[in-house]
Amino acid sequence: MRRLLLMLIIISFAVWGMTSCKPGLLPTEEAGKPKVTLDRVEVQSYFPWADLPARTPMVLGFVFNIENPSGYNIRLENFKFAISFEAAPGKDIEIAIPTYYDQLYFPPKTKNQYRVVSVLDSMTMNLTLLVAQAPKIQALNLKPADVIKNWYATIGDFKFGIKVGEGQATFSTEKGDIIVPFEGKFPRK
Amino acid sequence: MRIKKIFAIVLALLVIGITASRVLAQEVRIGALQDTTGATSDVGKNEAAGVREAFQYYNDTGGINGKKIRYFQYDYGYRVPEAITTYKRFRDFDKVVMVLGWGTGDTEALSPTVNADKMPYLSSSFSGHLCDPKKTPYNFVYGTDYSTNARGCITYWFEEVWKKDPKWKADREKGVKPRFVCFYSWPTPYSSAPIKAIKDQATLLGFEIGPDQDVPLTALDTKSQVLKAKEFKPHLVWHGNTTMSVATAIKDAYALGLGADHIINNWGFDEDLAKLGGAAVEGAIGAAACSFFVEDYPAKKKVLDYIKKVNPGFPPEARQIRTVQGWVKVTMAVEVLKMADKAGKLNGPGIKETYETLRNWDGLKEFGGQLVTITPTDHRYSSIVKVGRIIKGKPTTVANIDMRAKFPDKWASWLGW
Repeated sequence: MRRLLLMLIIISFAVWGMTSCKPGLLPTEEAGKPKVTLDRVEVQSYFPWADLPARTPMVLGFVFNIENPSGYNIRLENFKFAISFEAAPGKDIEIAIPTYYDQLYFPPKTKNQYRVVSVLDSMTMNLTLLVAQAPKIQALNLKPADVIKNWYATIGDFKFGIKVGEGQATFSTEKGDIIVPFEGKFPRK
Repeated sequence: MRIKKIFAIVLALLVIGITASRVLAQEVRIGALQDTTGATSDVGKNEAAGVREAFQYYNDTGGINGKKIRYFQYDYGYRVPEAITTYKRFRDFDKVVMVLGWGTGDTEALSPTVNADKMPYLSSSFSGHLCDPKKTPYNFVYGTDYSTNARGCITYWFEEVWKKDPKWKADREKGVKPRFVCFYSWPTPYSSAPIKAIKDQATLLGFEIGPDQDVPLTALDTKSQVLKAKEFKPHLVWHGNTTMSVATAIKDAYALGLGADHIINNWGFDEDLAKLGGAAVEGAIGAAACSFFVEDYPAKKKVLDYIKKVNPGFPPEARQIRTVQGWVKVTMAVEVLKMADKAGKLNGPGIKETYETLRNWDGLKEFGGQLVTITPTDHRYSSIVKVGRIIKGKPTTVANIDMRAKFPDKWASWLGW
């Protein structure tokens, strides 16, 4: 009787151990890593231009596709990327680095969309163009105020390119953190 | 009887398992304010990247004694009201145990609040005003303070250049006093913080002091300030702004034949200054908080490895000393949190007490930082000024001056300047 009980306990532990191991690819394996791609950019809310030094908001929505090809649940912990606008043909100027800490689960073998709403503004863009991006602006012989005004005038039709770079999505899993770099362009040409 | 034993073992295993999973699930929360878009974004973006990469490294290597570090890093655009709002979010919603701050204006503005909240605040502002625990007990810095840096730079120039360089031989032999002016943004707390100290040091060394020149952080043209300074015929100029503005001023000084040497506070002296300033900045002297990115230092491999792992889109060619500073800041915070956690004091007063136990702590040496001593009566991180110089287009460490050893009778009285 006692032996039978002992056997039952051992068997139940073995079954529990086997069933708790989830099937499918590990997220840390190359084939199972999450994929992050930029689907599109939307003007989330439009504010008409007011000359600097007035602070005009520009509210953009960045819609990303997040695919989890692994057999595991993964949890998004942190999402950041740099936004660059095209200031001259083929010349991008970085204007903001939004960072988000929303915790979201992505089930195995699914593709979901994640919208990041980023509030930019003309005064901060101006400061960025005058300081961190000043060497690029000087090299292109551009006037920051003119460049920014043009972005506001044409954003509705996306007449300039918007680039997402230095992207980093951090997912936590049972096997540790996975860092997924990403980048993208809109409109895709 | 045997069954009872088996059940006891199973129960014990379950308890251990549950406890272990609870410990693993614990996290230590830290808030970080950064400037990646504002008036100091020329240096802020690099530092923010270093902070992010260092946190990932420490999480990958065990976090805070096995507890995961959950950090919240936000850009506040160098706007004080936004920093205050973000701090409230850290305190009230994110429930952080420590804040890593950025600018002098916001750190000083937040100081009464963080001290009332008993919130340890480790800032990238090395303002000397934040180092007197009688006034700011919860503020800490991770580099030699601006006032000591300024005193160190002018002392270095006086001893190594004014007294030795053939360029100034004629004036020296005539008994001319060295003439000195300051270029900085008057309304910017970072830029103005060490001015009283550097003028005191200039007086101590026998300089003649000329009129200050107001140079904005966003300056693209400083010709009028240079021409005004030229009337005084200075031998030496102190630059108190960040890299972009300093590069503009030194290039204009070069173009207009000012003829003076240049000494620079730490946030204006880096790899980008050498790139932007070209021939105009050759020989310029500046303070440094740690090794320059381009130099060799023991931790360089892991810094490079984590750029590749975390931020491959922001490559080493675009990095400056600021990335290394980010690692220094996080390393100091993590070490103190580990010590406080081990002592069962992972709370504001406990973390503050732990900072104040550091004695000749060598944890930052691998990044070219100093030995750190912080006491309950003095929060100055070190008395040593790391002096750099632009040599053949590269910032290079040329000296480490111990201001306490050099001015032992003055050192204590300089606290809080």
